[in-house]
Amino acid sequence: MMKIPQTRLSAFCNVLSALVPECRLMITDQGWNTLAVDTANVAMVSANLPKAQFDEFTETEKAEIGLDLMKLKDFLKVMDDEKSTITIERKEGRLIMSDGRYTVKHTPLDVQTVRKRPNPPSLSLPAAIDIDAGQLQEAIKAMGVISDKVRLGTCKEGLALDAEGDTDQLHKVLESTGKCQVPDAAVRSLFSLDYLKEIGKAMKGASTCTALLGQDHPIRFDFELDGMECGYFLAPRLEGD
Amino acid sequence: MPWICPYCGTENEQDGRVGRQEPPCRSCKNPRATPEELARIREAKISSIKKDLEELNEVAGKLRDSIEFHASIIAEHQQDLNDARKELGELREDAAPLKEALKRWEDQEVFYEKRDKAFMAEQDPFQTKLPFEVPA
Repeated sequence: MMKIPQTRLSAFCNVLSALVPECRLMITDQGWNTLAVDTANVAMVSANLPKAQFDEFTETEKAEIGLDLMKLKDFLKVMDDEKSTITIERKEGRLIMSDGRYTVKHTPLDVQTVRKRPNPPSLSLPAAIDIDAGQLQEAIKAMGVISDKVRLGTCKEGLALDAEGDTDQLHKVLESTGKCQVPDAAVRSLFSLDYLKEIGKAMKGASTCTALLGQDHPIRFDFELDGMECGYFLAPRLEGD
Repeated sequence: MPWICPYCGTENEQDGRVGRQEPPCRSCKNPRATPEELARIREAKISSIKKDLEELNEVAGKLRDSIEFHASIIAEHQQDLNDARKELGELREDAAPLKEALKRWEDQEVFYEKRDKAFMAEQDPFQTKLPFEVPA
C-alpha cells in the first residue's frame, strides 16, 4: 500500500513523460525509482521518489512494473483534485488506484515489452552551474523563436545560450544562482530544442537546477522537484567542419 | 600723468610707474595701451572673427548638403511607404470575404500532429546518441 499526494504523483509522471511514453518503474522498500531512455536514444531521464515523500509506504519487496505514462496521465486527469491523496495498491498483478472519488484498476504493461533500463553514460563533465529552472525554461522557449537548436556553453557569469537562425541570432546569459564551476576555456555543445523544450517544461516547478556540461558532450540537468531527485541527460549534435 | 583706460573707460589719475613698469588700470587691471596698440589688437580680432565666420559658413554648407541628401532618401522611402499602404489596403479588401467565410468553421476544433522529436532526431545525421562515446 502506498499513499501519495496527487500533485506529487502528477509531477513524477510529468518528469518522465517529457521524454518517454512508458518506463520500467522499480519499487523497493526505499521508494520508487526509474531510469529511461527515449526511443531515439538521444535523451535519458532518471527520477527517484524516496519513501519519505509518500504519506504511507508499506512495500517491502522489490518489484519492477511496466508503467504506461500516457495512461497514468489520463487517470490523473480524472483524479484531478490537487488536494487529494492517491492510494495505490498492488493486487494480483494489477495496480488499484483511488483518490476517494474514483477507483482505477489498471493492468500495467508487461515488463518484458518495455525497454530495459539503460546504463547512464559515465562522463566527467568539467562545468557545473546552478541556474534558476524557471528562467531556463523561459530562455529555451525564447531560443525556439530563432532556431530549432541551441548552443549551451559556459561563461564567467553562468550558462550562455545562443541560437542562430538563417538571418537572426539570439544570445542570453543565465546568471548562476549558486555553484558556478566553469573551466578557464569555455566549453559549449549544440542541442536539439525539441528535447530541451520538453525538459524545460518538466523542470519548471523546480527552483534551482544544476547544469553539467562539457565541450561537445552531453548535458546533464539535475534538480529536485517536490521532494523527488530528478535528472536528464541529453546527447549533443556534432556538426562537421 | 592721468590716463583713460581704453577697455573700461576709467580715468587713472596717477601714473604710478614703478621700476619702468607701466601700471595696470586700477579698475579692470588691463595694461595701459596706446591708440596704435589698440588698433592692432582690433585688427587681429577682426581677422580672427572673419576666419571663424568662414569656417562656420563651410560647416553650414556641408549641413545643407546633408539635409538635402537625407530629404531625398526620406522622399524615396515615403513613396515606398505609400505604395505598401496601398497594397495593404488592397490585401485587407481581399481578406474581408475570406474572414467572413471562415466564421462558418470558427467553433470547429483544429487538430494538428505534434512534432515527433524522436523521429526528427533519427533523421538528423549530426545528432549523437546515448550512451555517448567521445568522438575520435
